[in-house]
Amino acid sequence: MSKEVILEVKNLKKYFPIRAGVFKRIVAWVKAVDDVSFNINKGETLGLVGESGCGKTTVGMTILRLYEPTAGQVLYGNRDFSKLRGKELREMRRKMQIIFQDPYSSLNPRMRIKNIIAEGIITHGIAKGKEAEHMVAELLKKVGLSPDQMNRFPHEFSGGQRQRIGIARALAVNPELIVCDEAVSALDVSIQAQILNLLEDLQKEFNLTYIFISHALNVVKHISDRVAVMYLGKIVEIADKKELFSEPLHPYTKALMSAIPIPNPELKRERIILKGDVPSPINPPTGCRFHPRCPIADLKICSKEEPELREVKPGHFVACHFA
Amino acid sequence: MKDKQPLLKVKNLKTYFFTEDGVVKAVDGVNFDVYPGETLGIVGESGCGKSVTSLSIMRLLDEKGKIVDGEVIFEGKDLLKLSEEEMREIRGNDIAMIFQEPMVALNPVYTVGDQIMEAIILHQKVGKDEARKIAIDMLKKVGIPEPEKRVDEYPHELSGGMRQRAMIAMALSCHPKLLIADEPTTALDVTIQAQILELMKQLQRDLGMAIIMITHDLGVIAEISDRVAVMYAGKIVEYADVKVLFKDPKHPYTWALMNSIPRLDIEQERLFSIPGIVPDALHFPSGCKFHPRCEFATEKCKSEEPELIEVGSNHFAACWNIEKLEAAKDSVRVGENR
Amino acid sequence: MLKDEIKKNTRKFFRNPTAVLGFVLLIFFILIAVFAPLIAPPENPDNPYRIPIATWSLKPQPPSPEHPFGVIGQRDIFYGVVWGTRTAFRIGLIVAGISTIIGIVIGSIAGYFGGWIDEILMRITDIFMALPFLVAAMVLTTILGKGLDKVMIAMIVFGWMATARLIRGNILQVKEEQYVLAAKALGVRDSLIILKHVIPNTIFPVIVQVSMRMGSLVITAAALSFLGLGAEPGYADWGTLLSYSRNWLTEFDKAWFSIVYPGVAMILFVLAWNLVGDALRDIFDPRLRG
Repeated sequence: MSKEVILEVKNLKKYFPIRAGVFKRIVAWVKAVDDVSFNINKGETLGLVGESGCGKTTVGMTILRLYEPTAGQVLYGNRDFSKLRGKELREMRRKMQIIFQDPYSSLNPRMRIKNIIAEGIITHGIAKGKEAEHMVAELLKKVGLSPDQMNRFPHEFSGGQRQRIGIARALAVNPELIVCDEAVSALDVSIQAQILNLLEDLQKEFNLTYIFISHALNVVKHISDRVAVMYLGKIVEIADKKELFSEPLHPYTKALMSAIPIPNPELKRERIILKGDVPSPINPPTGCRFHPRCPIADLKICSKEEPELREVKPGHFVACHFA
Repeated sequence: MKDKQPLLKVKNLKTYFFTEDGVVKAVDGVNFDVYPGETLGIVGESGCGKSVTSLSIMRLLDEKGKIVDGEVIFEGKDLLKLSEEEMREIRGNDIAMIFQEPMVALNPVYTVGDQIMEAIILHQKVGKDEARKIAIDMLKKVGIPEPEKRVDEYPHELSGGMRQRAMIAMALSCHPKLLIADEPTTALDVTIQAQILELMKQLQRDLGMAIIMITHDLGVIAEISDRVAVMYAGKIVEYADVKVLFKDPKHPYTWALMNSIPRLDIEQERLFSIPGIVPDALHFPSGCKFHPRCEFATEKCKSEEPELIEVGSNHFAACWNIEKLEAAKDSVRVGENR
Repeated sequence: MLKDEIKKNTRKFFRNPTAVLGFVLLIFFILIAVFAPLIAPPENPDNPYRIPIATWSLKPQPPSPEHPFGVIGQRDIFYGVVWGTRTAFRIGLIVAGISTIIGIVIGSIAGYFGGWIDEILMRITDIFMALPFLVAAMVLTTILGKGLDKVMIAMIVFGWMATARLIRGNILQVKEEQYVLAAKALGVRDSLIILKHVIPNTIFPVIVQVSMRMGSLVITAAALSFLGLGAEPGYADWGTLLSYSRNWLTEFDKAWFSIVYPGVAMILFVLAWNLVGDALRDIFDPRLRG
C-alpha cells in the first residue's frame, strides 16, 4: 500500500445550535464533532466506529460539506476542501462520494435507475445521451445488476439491490474517496456479506479510498485497514486494525469489543459491562468525556484534565491518561 | 430437560395474511417446544416469519392476518381456542412480550409507574399502594437507578436503554412463565445491548421464566439461547441445541449464514456470500424455499419441499442434501480462511 | 412500469364510486364550457359573455320554453348559467394556477434555503394570512376598481399562502432525504436539485390542494360578485346572476329560479372538484398505496 496521504482532516469541529423561544435564540450547542484530526492514505479503508451520538456520521457529512464545518480544515491534495465555494466546490465534489445507510431514502422514488446513476455523469459533463446510457449499463454490471433493469424505478428493487444502485451512482463520477455511512447496517446478514464483498472488489479495481462509518465493530474490523474509535465527538483511539483489535488500549475500545455478541456459544470471555448511558453531547462531561462510565477512571485526573490523543506506539494513538 | 413437559408447544402453526395483492404465507407450518426456564432463540432474516410467529402465539395479529391452522398449547390449553376474554387473562400474566422499540410499546401520556401498575392491578388483584410498591421493586430489579423517582417519569424522559429496562420491568411485573422478546436489543447501542442481555440472563436465573428470543443477530442468539430455531421463508429449516447448531450446522442456509457474518473472534479473508435476495413473502419459491440461493440445490429441491428430519440427537434440519453440505464443509470450515 | 402504475391507479380511481361521480360531473361541466356556443348561441359573437337582454320588463319571468331557466334582471338565466361555466373555469384555473405557482416559488425558496431567507418569507406569509381574506380582497378590489379581472387579482394576491406553507413543510421533509444529499454530494446545482429531486416529491399534495381549491375559489368569486365587487351587471357569471336575486329576496316565490339554477350549478361544480381532489389524494398518498 502506498503511503500517499489523500485526505487530511485537521481540528474539524461541527457544532449544531439548539434554538428555543420566540426569537429562536441559540440556547446551547450540540458539539457533534469536537476537534477531530486524522489522515487517510490513498487506497486504504479507514473505519470510523462508535455508538449513536458519537459524531461519526457528522464527521462524514462535514468532510463532504453536506454540513458546513464550524471550524477546521479538510485538506484534499493541497487544497482546503472546507473553504471552496460555488463552481469550484461543485467540481471538486466528484472526487469524494457517499453511500448512505438507508437504501429506501437514498434513491429518488420518482426517478428511473438510469437517470439516478447518470445524474453525476451528466452534471460533470463526462458523457451524455447514448454514451451516458452505455456508461450506466457498464456500471450496473459492475455492481452486479443487469443493464436491462435501468428503466425501472427504485421501488422495484430489494434493499440490497438498492444499495448496489447507490454504489453505482457514487462510482459514476470516478471518485477517489467514498464515505460509506452505515452502508450495510440496514441490510439482512446474507445481503450484507454480498455488499461488503462488492465494496472490496471495487476498491481493488478502482484503487478507491474508503471512510467506512459503522456502529458494528465486526463489520469495521472486516473491511478496514485502520480504525478510529469515536466517543462523544472525539476520537479516543486510532490504530492499525490488527494492532487495535489485538491490543486495544483505551478502556472504551476494550468495553466496546467485549460488548459485541460473538456467534460462538462455546467462547467464554470476560465481559466489561459499562455503567449508564452515553451522555448527551450538549453537555459532555468535563475532563475525559468517558470518565463517568470508565471502569479505570481516577477522578482526580480524569474528571479534570482532558487527555490528548497521543502516539503511544508507532501509528497507535490513544486519548487516555492511563494508556 | 427433555423429560419435562413443555411449557409451550407450537404445532403446525400457519399464519397467512390476506392482502390485496395476494395471500402472504408468513408462517407456514411451524413446530417447536419451549420448556420451563429455558431460552429458545428464533433467528432469521427480514420476512422469515419470526415476528409473526410470536404475534400469533400472543394472538396479536392485525385484521389481515389469520391463523389458518395449528395449535399453540400453553400448559395444556390451546391458546387458539380460548375466548378473547380468557386470552387477555393470559397475556401479560402468564405470557409477556417485549418489543424492539420501547417508545412504541410504552404509552407516552402515562408515567412509567402507571403503566407497570396497570398490569399488576389487573392481574394480581392488589390495591394501588401495593401495586406501586411492586412497580418500584420491579424497576429496582431491572437496574433502573432511583426507582422511587423514575416511577413517576414519562417514557420520553428515559434514555433508550432505560426505556427498554422499564418495558422489561412491565413485562415481568406479573412473573410470567414465558417472556417473548422480539428483537429487544436491535435498536440499542452495543454497550447498552450488552447491559440488557446481561439483565435478561440474570432475571431468568432469579425468576425462572422461559424466554423466546427473536432476533436476526446470530451473536445475540449464541449469547443467550439454549436451543435455536432457524427460520427461512415462513418455515423452520433447522432446530438444535445452541452449541450443536453453531458447531455443526446441517442446513445449507444456517451454514452459509454463519459464514457470511464478519467475526471479531477469527480472521476471515473474504466473506462467504449467499447469492440472490431474501425472497418476498408474496412470491416464495416452490419446493425448498431456499433452493434458488442454495449451492447444493438439485432438481428435487425445486419441486419437493423437505420436512424437518432428525439428523442428530435433538437436532433437526429440513434439507434433501445434508451429505452434500457435509462433504463441502471439509473444504470450507466455519471460521476458517477461504 | 409507469404504465402499470397508471393502469393500477386508473383502476383504483374507477373502483371508487364518489370519484367516478366527481369525474363525470367535471366532464359534464367541461363539455358545457366547450360547447357553450352551440348550447346557447350568442347574439353578438364578439362579446359572448354579455348576456343578451331578453325582455324590457324589470320583473323576473319564470321558466318558459323560450327561456328554460327563466329571466331575471332582463337577462336569460339559461344563457348566463351556460356561459358562466366558462367564467367559472377561467376563475378557477387562472387564480388557482397563478397563486399556486407563486406559492410553490416562495415555499420552495423558503424551504430549500432555510435560514434567514426562510424566516423573512414565512413572516411575510404570516402577515398575509393574518389579514381576513374577504375584507382584504374587498379593499384591494375597491382600490383596483370593479371587474372580474380585478377580483381575480385580489384572489391571487391573497390566495398563495396555504400552498407556500404546504410546499415548504414538504420540502423541509424531503430535504433530509438522503437522495437530496446524494445529489448535493455529486455537485448538482441547487436549482436543479429543487427541480429534479425536491419538487417532484412534494408536488402531489399541492395538486390535491389545487383541485380542492378550484371549487371554493368559484364560490369566493361569486361572493364578491354578490357583494357588487365582481363582474359588471350582465356578465355571464354565476355570482352576478345570483346578485340579481338580491332585489327579490323577500319574494322568493317570484324569483326562485334565479337562485336555484346558478346555485345548483355552483354546488355541483364545487362538489365535482372536491370529489376529484379526494380521489387524487387517495391515489397520491403513498401510505394508502397497496
